[in-house]
Amino acid sequence: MPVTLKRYRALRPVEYPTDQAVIRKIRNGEAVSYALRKNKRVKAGDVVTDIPNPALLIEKGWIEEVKNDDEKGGDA
Amino acid sequence: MAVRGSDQADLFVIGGYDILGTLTQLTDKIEAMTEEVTVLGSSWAEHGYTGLRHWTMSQNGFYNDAALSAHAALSTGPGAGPRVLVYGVEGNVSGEAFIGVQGAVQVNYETIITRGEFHKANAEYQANGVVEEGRIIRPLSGAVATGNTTNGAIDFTASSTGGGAAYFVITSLPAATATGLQLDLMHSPDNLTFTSYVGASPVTSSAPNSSWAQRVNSTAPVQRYVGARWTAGTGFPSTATFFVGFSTQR
Repeated sequence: MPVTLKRYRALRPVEYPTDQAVIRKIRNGEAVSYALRKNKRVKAGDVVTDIPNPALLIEKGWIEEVKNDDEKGGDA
Repeated sequence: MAVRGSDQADLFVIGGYDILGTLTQLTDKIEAMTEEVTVLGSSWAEHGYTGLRHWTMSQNGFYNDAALSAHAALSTGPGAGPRVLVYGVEGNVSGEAFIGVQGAVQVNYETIITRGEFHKANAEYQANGVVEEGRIIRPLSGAVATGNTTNGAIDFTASSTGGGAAYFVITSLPAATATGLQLDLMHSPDNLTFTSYVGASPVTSSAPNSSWAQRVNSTAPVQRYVGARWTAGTGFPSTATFFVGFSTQR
């Protein structure tokens, strides 16, 4: 059964790591160098599926969830 | 909190001039402006705080006429407009405290020539605007490539609804890098996803000017983790030297 990833639209430019091992290390309080973070840069309006902590970022007004009947924005 | 020594006074930049290496003494003074409010029948004089504070600073040091040194920084200061001033006495280290002055008005420049001694160069400043304590987000040092400090973001332990002020200070910018060095203060609620909080105006001159030392404030809420980001288009890998600090308004 295919897994459908939730999609989120950036409401402002953001950058974040996408490597799960890196995200785990940062959450554990470990220092991860800029080179290893390999932050992904996203423009306002881009739609992504890999952003960490989406619920928190929705609360902050940095992203919004994209519903199926709400198609617009760029690619992930 | 700890006792500090002169070896930790490791940051002093006025208007983009890093003249720490010429200084021997700094005197920073904040005074409350008061008015005598004694009325008849009093046996002791009384004074009330008017709500105004007054900042002054004096610096003593050696005369040095090298490029970007004390004489270049100070000789045209009296009568010129206010400049952003930052200094730190707890080390030029991420997370340590610094003092930021929104507008330091240089009121004099004194050179002292004495037989058998090195020449001295002294100056005094008064504030035009805010004097505030903040934390060093990116210490004064060189960079040879676009980068950021999200790997070592400073944890302010909580978000601030009162906003804050960022200090962006450049002390060296080779012509090759002066194609538009852009400094940004980044913030994040989770130390993972960052966005720009405020940014400095891009700097395109390889000679010191007002764009080399900028204070940019915002009243928007600032998130818990704060870092810095720098980009310079095709300018890198020439070394640029700069500092980023941040003061929260809680």
